Amino acid sequence: MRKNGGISAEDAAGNVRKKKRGIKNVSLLLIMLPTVAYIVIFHYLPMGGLIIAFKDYNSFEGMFGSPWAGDPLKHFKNFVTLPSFWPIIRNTLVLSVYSIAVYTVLPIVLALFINEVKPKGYKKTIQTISYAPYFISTVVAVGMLFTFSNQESGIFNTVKAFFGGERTNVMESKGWFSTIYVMSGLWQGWGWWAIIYVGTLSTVDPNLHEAAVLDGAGRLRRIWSINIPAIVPMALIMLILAIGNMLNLGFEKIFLMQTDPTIPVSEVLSTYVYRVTFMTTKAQYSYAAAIGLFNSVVSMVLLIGANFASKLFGGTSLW
Amino acid sequence: MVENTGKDKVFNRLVYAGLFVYIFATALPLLHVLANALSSPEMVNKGKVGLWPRQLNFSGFGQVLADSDILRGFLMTFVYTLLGTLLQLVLQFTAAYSLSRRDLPFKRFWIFFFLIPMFVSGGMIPTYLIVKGLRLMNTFLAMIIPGCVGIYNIVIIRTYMGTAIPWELQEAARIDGASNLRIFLFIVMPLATPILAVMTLYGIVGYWNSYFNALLYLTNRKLYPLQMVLQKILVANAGATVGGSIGNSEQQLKSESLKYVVMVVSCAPILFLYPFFQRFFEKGLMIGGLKG
Amino acid sequence: MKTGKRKPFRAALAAISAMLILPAFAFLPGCGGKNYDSNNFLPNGTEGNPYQIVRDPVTLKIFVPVTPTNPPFGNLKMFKKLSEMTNLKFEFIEADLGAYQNMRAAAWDSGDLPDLFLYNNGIEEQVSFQPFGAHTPFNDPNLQVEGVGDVGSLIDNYMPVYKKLLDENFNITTDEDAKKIATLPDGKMYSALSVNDVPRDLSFKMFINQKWIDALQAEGWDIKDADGIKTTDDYLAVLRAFRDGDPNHNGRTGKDNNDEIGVGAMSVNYLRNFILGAYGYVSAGVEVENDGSAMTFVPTTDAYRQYLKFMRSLFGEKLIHSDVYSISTDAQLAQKGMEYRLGSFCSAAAYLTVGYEYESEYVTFGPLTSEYYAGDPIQWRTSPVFQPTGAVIPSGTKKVREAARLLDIMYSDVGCQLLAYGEEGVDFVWDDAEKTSWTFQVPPTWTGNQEAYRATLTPHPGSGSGLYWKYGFVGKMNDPIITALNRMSERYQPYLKTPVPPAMKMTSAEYDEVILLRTDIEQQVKYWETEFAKGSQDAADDKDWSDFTALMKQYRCERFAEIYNGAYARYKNA
Repeated sequence: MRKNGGISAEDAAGNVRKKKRGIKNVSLLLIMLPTVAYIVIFHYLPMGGLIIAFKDYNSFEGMFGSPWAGDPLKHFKNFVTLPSFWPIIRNTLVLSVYSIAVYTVLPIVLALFINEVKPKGYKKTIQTISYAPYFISTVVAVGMLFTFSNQESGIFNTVKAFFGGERTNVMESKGWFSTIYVMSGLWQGWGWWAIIYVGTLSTVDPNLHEAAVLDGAGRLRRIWSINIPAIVPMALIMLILAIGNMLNLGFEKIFLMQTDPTIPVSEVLSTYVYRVTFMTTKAQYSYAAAIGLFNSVVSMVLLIGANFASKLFGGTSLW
Repeated sequence: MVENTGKDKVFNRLVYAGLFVYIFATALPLLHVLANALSSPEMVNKGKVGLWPRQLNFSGFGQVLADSDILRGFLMTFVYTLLGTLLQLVLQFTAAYSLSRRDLPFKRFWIFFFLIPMFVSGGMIPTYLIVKGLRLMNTFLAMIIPGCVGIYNIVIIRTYMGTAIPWELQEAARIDGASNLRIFLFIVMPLATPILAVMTLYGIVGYWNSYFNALLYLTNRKLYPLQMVLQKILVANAGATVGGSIGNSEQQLKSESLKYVVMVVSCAPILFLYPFFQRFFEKGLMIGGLKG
Repeated sequence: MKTGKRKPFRAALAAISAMLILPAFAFLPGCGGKNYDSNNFLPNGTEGNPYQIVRDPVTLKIFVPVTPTNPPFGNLKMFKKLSEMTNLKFEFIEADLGAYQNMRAAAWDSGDLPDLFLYNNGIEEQVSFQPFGAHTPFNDPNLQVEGVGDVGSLIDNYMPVYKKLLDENFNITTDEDAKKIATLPDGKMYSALSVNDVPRDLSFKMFINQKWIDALQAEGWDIKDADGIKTTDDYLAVLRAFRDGDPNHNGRTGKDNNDEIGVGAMSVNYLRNFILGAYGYVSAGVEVENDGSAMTFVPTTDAYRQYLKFMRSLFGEKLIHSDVYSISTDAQLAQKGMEYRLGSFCSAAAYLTVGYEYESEYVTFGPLTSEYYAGDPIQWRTSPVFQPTGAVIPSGTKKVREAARLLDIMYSDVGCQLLAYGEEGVDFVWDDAEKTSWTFQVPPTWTGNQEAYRATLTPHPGSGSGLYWKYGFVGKMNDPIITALNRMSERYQPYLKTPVPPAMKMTSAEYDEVILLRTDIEQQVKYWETEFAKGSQDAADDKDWSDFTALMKQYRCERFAEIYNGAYARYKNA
């Protein structure tokens, strides 16, 4: 054990290379052992609970003691045959695709801009302000949306009316829902999401830029051929992960933004599951587990698909 | 280093103009939050506060900061954030490092081992039972351990290590006879400062805002983090009408403005972390450049 | 050569691994096999203290719901006092309402159960656990408890106060039957009731500004007083007068002045139930017919169509604020109220919406009838008087008699007082010898508000937890505003209707199916209401209406009503 744990001086001195690699590899496993243990305990063990997706769970008999559902796929069928199944899936995908499109590109743009700012004082100020909205809680952020868009007193309508427009309430508009959702999210997360790219950009070797300048490349040219390629692998991984997470839209914000007139476009998977499990007098655990499992399978398919596409076009791959 | 030419000046102006518009648009709503936190509850409730405080008033801050539990809340959150972020960083970086190595045995298996839990979750009750079984209930570890590994983060760190750190450096060190742990600590980690800074920031913010673990796993109020204490203040002051308990009008009036005060109190301390972290983004490969 | 340096890393690695792996071995079920001394229990207290329950202190583990308003239950005056009286010690498992269902399910799932679940016990759990005998029945004459022996009916033997109250239906004038509500189809009571007969809690209230009406009448408007508003047409006339006149005397008159608002509401909740009442139903779900014949899915009825037409008038004629559907909190509605712009609104109390300045101008009115429905007026009952949710005793515990006696004390006068406003003579003081009213004693040193002080005495603030929130005591509080509120709420008492009979129980499978259907249907009903109210659909148009009813059928509203009717038939035949 101890010998495998790390490589000693004698091993390094001149043993066969093959053997040495074998020993080193075991130590790689040891290095990640604590994390693996964590994942097993806190992620894989609880997955046993997914068994209730095929059962009629009641907490008295417990996860393993509860009876199997008459039809093991009952809860899946209940979900798929739900009259609002397709609207829910469609709404989830619309919001996700819209979000992914905006949130993938714009933080990169911001990071590139910030990277061009050289005076340290400016840079710090800009970044501090840019990521500050991330800390505004969802409740307050959505509250502000309602305040600003208020038909009588909101700033949006005051400006609109000033220019002769008609006062409307965008929070009650089906057409505006997704845009408001995505744009307010952008306001909150833009600077925060850019941080990872600012960090990545800082690893660009300054020598590359100097060499490019000597070759007569302008700044745009250098951004295009040095900075952007440096970001692309990270951006691609983020994109693949985002696509894999497409069905997992957070519930809180949508739930708070939802008004009765926007229900047909704002009911998504997470808000539906919340409604069925928490807003009822009898939480539907088995049903929620079935939806969760359905969600997992679709997510995995999406992830594998996205990764495949990335590989196909010569980009990064998760594996 | 890189000289500024005339063309560059135009470019610079465009960059600054763009950023100015962006910062302006971002900052206005922030000012609105601040102005609301500093205005009298009446003005807030009537929705009369724009970008500047009306009837300047610190009573909200007075009330929040005078709460008997708030100091302890700050202290507990500080402890959770410090220890939690440390543990999180260790677990994430060690795993990400191993995963970033091309010669990890059964590499594909491990990748999927980490990816699957990103999408498959056993749900809240099994997790709760595990935490309970581990005797973590009502201990400060319940605020630190559950949820301390972000698999998403591991993937990002691994990507960074795989792309931004030259593989040749590690190869060379190996030939020199360095152990994996040494390579990780003395070659990879120094080059990973930018991603370390990002992950530290993620960790701190995550632990600072964490709330749900406390709701589930803590009943001992002495262990409550700041967010729980603030929540308590908010709810206790909402003019709620639940069951037979009808609040009063002053409460109702205050509840709107307190929301903003609580907001400011809870995020002000971490808001100013960024300038501190930013320096790590400056160095980055500089160290690596020297070494390589 | 470098080995010495390397060791610490290896040690650190080992330590980290150990930290994460070792706890896994501690994964053993907790076992608390303490001896139970059956003779320690005192069935009738002692000579000096009839409340005493045990000779030597015994700890009772109690599972309770908490909100951020509540301090730790062990610090509450109510439980300190109860502990003193009974010699029981309490250990609380406090589940925040935000995580309550999960924590409760986890408690059952892991078998780590308390001696008593106090407050917030869903009837659904009782029904679905009934086949397993998971809860101790309160009225089973043959109850055997392992290690204790023959216990018999808890209510008969150990709960004299509760038994008397049950027999007298708690002396409350209501058509609800306490015993029926507490009893499951197998004839057993698995829960102790949660009782609330305070008028202000039983219905929501519609307020209208009588001073505005007076002012307009003086100007010659032909409108009725608050008490005279009996029909939807009376009501519409008043609303139109509010809109066109200038009752708040700020100089702005006319239709499009964006000033006085006829009726204010948040997302038409409550208002919906109030207006629907004028057409014969009080809810937009499944509801029992007024003659008790069957249960009906309301949104596809003709009455609901009439309701939608009325809502269209409110929106079309600008009698309601246009942002009603994007207002979701009391505070947002209060913004308009404090500006003195609301003519009428629904609220728990007027001062919450308009502040203390204008509070006295608003009085309650209704319920209404209409041309369409001329039967007895009806008003939605927000919460039933009796609910089978007060307390359940899990079957595993031996301390059933202790728990039963403790509950009994909570139903007694002193128990109700402790739950409401604390200890007699200390926290509240009678104003006169006849005990007609009392005054709450908030210490002068207390800086917060009154409700926050009350939260240090009882678990009631925040979640409304309690076994018996008794009007006989609560109603005697010496507080003019609260007294007026109760008095104004009393006008609705004779007309209250509960959409689903509180004593009706479904089967476990029925509850599950209903929840799925309701979650889906409710959203659709809410959405289509906005379409009709805002005028993109026309309820008067036969095609629009039949499209809507067809859609509801697609959402399986018929199956929804069928389940209710099945349960209702069983309930009626029982």
